[in-house]
Amino acid sequence: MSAIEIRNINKSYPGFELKDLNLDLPEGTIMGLVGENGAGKSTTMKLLLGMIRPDSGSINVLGETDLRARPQIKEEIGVVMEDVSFPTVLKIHEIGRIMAGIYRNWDADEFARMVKVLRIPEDKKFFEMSRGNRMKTGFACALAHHPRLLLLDEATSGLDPVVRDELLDILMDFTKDETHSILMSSHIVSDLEKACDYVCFLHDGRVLLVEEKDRIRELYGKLQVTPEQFKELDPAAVIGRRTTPYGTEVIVRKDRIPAWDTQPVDIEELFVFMVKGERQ
Amino acid sequence: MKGLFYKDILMLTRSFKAYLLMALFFIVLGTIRPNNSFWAIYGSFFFVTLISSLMAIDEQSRWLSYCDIMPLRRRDIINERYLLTLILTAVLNVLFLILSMIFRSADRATVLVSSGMMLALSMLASAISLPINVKFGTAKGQMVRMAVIIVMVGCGMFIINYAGEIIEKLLQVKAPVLLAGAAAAIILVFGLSWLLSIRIYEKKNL
Repeated sequence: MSAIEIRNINKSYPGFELKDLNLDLPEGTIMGLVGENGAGKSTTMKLLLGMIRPDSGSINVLGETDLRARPQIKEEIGVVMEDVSFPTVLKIHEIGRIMAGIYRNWDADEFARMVKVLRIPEDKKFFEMSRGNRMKTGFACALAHHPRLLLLDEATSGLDPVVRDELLDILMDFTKDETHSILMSSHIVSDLEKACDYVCFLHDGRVLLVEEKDRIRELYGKLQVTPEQFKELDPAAVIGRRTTPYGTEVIVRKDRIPAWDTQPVDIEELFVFMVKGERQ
Repeated sequence: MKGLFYKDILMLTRSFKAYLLMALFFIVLGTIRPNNSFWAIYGSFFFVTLISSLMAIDEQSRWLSYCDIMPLRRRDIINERYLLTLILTAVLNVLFLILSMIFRSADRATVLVSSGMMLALSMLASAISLPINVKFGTAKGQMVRMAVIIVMVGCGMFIINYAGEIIEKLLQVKAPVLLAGAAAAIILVFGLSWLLSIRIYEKKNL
């Protein structure tokens, strides 16, 4: 069963278009959305939350198709956006009390536990907190109402590696329950590489690739070739290439060139090569 | 919606303590000065502007777009704002009546008329400013609000100049009917403003 089903979604703004987006997030898994600025990651998140309406297509989140009309399903969705926006003069325990008045499932003990685990300062007002602590506050709020689905939009951006690592551990812990799922977008591909089961590449409002993370290593490889060797390659196997003074680096589909010995490729390299390949 | 009320009360007592005290000061001033409820009405009006200030803070902190990720209907946000306005206005009015009874500086009729004016002006001011703030935001809304108020004052002056005598005569003969009509009109305007704000906010891209 899928926690999220997106079918043929189109949404256009002046200067931007999300085209025929199709996506499935199986329950119990973490999917990473990778894309440049303006690729459509935040638009996808907003569409999922009903914050904006699609021009066409359908969206199903935890069995609900219209989140704006029936936002009650958001009781089961935890969200952390790039900016966590609480009134700045509030302290963490006041934020907790506000949330308790908004979420029926709010668990004050779980919130207090998260505040302790994440070491969020209890004596500071929100505007006095560092970006890291603000994001941690967002995570504590997103998790304290026991959601089944987490939507994270650049939620780890701008955080130091130690904080990011702590948060990723919490996320992986969250998906130990097989009914829990996460869709997270990030520029930091190493985070997605660490946490995700699936990756989705978005470029210019289109899906370039949706694949299981482990399958990416099976399917794609990297080659260092001379210009002559490059000409011998099946063009259909070439995902992208980069020419340096020392030769040409090529990302290929391994199944199309079985005779060649390839090196493993990571998600970031594959994404960069695919995007550049698109541009060429 | 309980959380929204809690947040706004917290913000009022935290960020607008001085303004709250000023509003209360005006109310007290209106009750201790004999037959002069101008200050009480001014205090009530002043109090209502605090709602606009609350909205400005919400805009600044991007709280409203954050609310979109929560299990809240957009109309819940608007409902809370209008209910808060009514509650605050009622609390001030009750306070005014209690203080008036304690100080006994004006006769009962004057106190009741002042109380009615406080309610009417607060509701009318909110009915105008809330949908404008929702539509244009509080910064742009300030300009639009000023323009609306100038037009309304102009219309009021026109009516007083050209129909003042007729209204005065009508008031002498049919005061209860006219007052009831005015009250009904204000409630209707407030209700329409409420519905309009919901409509605007539900369509707004945050």
